[in-house]
Amino acid sequence: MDSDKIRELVKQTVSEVKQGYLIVRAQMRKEISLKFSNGQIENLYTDTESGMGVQAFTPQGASGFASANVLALERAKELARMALELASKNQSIDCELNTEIFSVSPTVAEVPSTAKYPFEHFSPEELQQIVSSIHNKLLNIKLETGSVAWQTVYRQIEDFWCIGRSDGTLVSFTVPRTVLLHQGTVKDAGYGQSFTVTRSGVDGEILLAEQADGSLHLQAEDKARFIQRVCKAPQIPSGSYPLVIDYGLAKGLAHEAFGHAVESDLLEESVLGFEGKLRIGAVISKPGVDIIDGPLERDWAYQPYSANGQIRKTVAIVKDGVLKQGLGDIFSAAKAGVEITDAARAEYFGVVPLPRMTNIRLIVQDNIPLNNTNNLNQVIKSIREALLSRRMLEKDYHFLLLGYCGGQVNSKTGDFVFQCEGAVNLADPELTVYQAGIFSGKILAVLEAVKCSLGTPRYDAIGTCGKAGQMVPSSGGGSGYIMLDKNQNIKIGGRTND
Amino acid sequence: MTDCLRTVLPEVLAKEQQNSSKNYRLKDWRVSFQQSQMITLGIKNNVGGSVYRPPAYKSTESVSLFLVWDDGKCTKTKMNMPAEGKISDWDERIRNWRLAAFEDPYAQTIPKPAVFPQVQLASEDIYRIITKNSDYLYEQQKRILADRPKEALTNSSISVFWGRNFLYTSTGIDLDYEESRYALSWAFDSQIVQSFAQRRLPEEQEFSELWQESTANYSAIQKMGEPISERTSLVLAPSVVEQMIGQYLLPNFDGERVIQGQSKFKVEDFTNQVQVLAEGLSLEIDPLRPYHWNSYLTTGEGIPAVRTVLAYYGCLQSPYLNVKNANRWGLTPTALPTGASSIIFKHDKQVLWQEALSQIDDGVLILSVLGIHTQNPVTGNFSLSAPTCIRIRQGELEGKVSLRINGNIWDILNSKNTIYAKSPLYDEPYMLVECKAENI
Repeated sequence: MDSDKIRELVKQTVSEVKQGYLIVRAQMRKEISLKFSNGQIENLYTDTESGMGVQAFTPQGASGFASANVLALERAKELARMALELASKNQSIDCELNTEIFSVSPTVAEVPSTAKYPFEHFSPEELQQIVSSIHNKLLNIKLETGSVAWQTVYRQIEDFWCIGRSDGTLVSFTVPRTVLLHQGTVKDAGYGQSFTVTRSGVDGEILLAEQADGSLHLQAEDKARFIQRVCKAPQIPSGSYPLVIDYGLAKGLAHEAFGHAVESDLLEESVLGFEGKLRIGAVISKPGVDIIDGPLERDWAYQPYSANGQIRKTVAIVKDGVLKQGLGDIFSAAKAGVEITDAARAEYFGVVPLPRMTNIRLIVQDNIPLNNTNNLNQVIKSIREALLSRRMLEKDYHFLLLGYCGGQVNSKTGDFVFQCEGAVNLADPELTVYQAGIFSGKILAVLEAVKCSLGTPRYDAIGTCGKAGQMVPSSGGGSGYIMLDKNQNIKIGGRTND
Repeated sequence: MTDCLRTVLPEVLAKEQQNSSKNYRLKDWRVSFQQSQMITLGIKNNVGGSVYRPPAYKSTESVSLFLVWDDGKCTKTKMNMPAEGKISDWDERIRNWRLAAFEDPYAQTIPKPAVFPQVQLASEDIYRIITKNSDYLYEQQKRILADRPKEALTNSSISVFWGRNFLYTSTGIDLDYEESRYALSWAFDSQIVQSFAQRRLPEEQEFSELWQESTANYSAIQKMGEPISERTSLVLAPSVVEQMIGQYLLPNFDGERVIQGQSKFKVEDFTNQVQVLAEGLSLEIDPLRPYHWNSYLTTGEGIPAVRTVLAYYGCLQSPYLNVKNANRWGLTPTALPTGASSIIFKHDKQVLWQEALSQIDDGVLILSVLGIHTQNPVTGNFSLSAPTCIRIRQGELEGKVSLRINGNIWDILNSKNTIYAKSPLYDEPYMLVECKAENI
C-alpha cells in the first residue's frame, strides 16, 4: 500500500467512526540489513511491515488501545470499535481520565523523505557488493600483537507514519535512516574487548561516501589499536577524578542524566521534579552550560512530528545552567508543569507513545579549540597540550574517557551510569591507557562539574533508547570533548583500593 | 485472511520448486505463520488504565520465510498480511525474494520431519481470558492497587498472550500448535521490582509469596542501613543473576560467536571439555519444562525441543547451535535459549535460600544493578552501580544501602566459595559471591 492510500485509509477511519475521539497511527516500515563477519556474508534480511494502532477516548477522557498489523479499512474500523470498548471498560473501573487531547488544535502536514536515493535505489545484490568491499578492507588491519575479529552491519530503514485524529488532524512523514557499523573484537594478553564505530545517514549515500573517503575504516583502525592497548592496560583505581569525555559520552551523559529525568510522564518520580512538576528555574550548573533536545534533519533519530500528530519542537532543557523546560507531550505536559513540546514517540504502531528524546546535546559555551585532526592519537595529544598550555591539567590523574558503551538511569534515586571503552591519563606525559570501570554519578551533581569543551561540536553519536521496553533511535553529542572537574558525586568504578 | 495465505503460500512455493522456466529454481523452503492476540493492562503512578497504559488489545499475523535456491543461495524475509487479503502477483514476489538471496553454505539445511515432544505450552485458562472474559486481568490490577504499600508510587504491567503457530517445510514438516503466556510485574518507587512470567496463570500461593516478598523488601528499604564493611557477605538477588546470565553466559555460549572469535571460549575449549566453572556447577537449557516461559515445542527452524547441557560439573560440553552453526561445528543442532532464564544453574551443593539467609550475620542483598548491559561479556569483568541493596543482619533484612560492585563473573562461577541458594519462587538462585564492594 503506498503512502497516499495509507493517508486516505487513516482519514476515512477517523471520519467514519463517529463515537468517541480517535488517534489513528498507521505505519509502513521497510528494512534491509546485511551482516558480514570476518570476510563472509553472515546474513541478509529484508522485511516490510505495516499496521495500525487506534487509541480511543471516551468523552470523559478514559482511553483504550487496539492494534493489528493489517492496513485495511474494515479492520481499522474494527480496531476503533475494540479500542472504544476497552476505553469504556477502563472508565467503568475508575481509571485516570485525561482530556488534554480534546483541546489541541488540528494539524495537517505531509513531510516527504529527505533521502537522495530512494529505498530501492541499490538492489540487495549491489548492497552486498558494496558492503562486502568495505568490510573486506578491515581484514587488512594488522595489530602488533593479539588478534581482531571484524563484523560489519549495514541497516537501511524507511519508516512512513501517518497520524489522524478525530479533530481532522492528518499528518504524515517519512523517516529514512541508514547506519554502517563496524564492530571489532580485539583479543590480546588473555583479555578481549569489543568496540563499535558507526557512520549514519538517511540512504545508501553513506556507503558511497565511505568508499570515497574511508573515514569509518580509519576510525575502526585507530580504535582497534587503542583497544589493543586497553587489553593490556591496568584498571583505573576506583575514585573521583578530573575528567574529559568524548562527544559520544557527552550524549550518554545528557541522555541518561537529564533527558529521561525531564520527560513529562516521569516527573512524579524524578529528582528534577517537585510534587510532580519540573523544578523550572533550578540552578544546576555553572553559567554557560546548555542541554538542548530537538530533531535535526537527516539525523539518525529525526522525527519531525510527534506520534500524536503535533510538530516536534526543539527544547532548551538547561539554558545557561538553569533548568528551563521539559520534554512534554499532550497528555502529561500540563500536569508536569512544562510546555507541550511535543515529545511523543512510539517504537511502532502497536504501542502507546511516550515522551522521548530525539537528538540531545550538551553544549558548553567556554570552548578551547583543538588542532584539526581525526586521528585518535593526535586528538589525545592535542587535548593534553591544550590543557597543559592553559594550566588546566591536574596532577597525577586527569582521565580522558573514550567510546560510549551505553548507560542507564534511575530518575527516582537520581543515579545514572554509563560505560566507556577505555581511558587515557592525560596527566601522564606517556599518555598511559587504562581499562575504565563504570562512570556513575548523581543527576543533581554532574552538571556542576562541567567546566569547558574542547574542539568542534559533533552531534551524530547514535544509539537506541529502550525506555519502557520501547526501542527507538536516539542520538546526540557535545560541543566537543567536555571537561569535568573532580567531583565526589561522580565516580569511576574499577579496581578498589585494596 | 491468514488462513487463505497459509493455504496458498505453501502451494505457491511447492509449485515454484517444479518451475524450470527461470534461470533460478527454488530448491527448498520453510514457512512459519503466527497468529497471536495479546491483552495488556497497566498501572502508572498508582493509577490503573492511564493514558500511557490503557487496556490494549493487539492482534498480529506474521509470516517468516526461509528459501534455498538451487545455486545454494538463501533468502530470509518476512511478509506482512496483504491489505487485499491475497497476493495478486506471486511471480513478482518470488523475483524480489530471489533478488535478496545471498550465499550461505551452512544455512541451506531444512530439517526433516521428526518426532516432536509433548510440551505443555498452552493454558486453557489463558485462552478463556483472551477469547471470552478478561475480568481476571482487571481483578489482578484492582488487587495490586488495593494492596500496594500506601506510601509507594506503584507501577505495574499485566499481559496475556495466545498464539497459534504453523510450520511447513519442503521436507514435509507440517506443524500446528498453540501457546500461551502470562506476565505480571510491579514496582514500588522504581526500586523494588517483582515479576511472574510463565505460560500459565500464577497459583494463588505463588502470587501471595511474591507479593509478600516485595512488600517486605519495600518495608526494609524505608530506613537506611549500616554501611557495609570488608566482612559483609554479598548476595546477588535472582533478578541480578538473571541479568548476569543474559550479559555474560548467553553471548559466550553462542556457537556463532565462538566460531567468529567473539566469545571468551574457543572451539577447542568445547572439544577438550575445558573446565571453566567450579567443579559442582552445571549449566543447561531445558525447553521441556511444563508451562515455563522459555519452553517450546520446536525451534523456529523445525528442530524438536531437547535438553542441552552447556557445562557439566564445571567442564564445557556444548555451545548452543542453530542449524547453520551446527553445520559449521559439524554437530547436531541443540536447544536454543529464548531469554536469560533459559539457562539453568545446577550445583551439587545448592542450599535453600531461607536456610542460607538465616545463617548470614552480616550481609547485603543486591536487588538491582544499573548498567549491566554496558559490561564486557568476553572478559566477564563488571563494575556496576547498585543503588538499591538491603542490609542483612542476623538473618534479617533491614535498611537500604547503595553500593558499587566490581568483580569478574568467571571468577565467581569458578570459585568454590560461591554459594547457590534456591528459592521456589525463582528460576535463578540467589548467589553468595566474593567481589569488591564499596558504599556510595
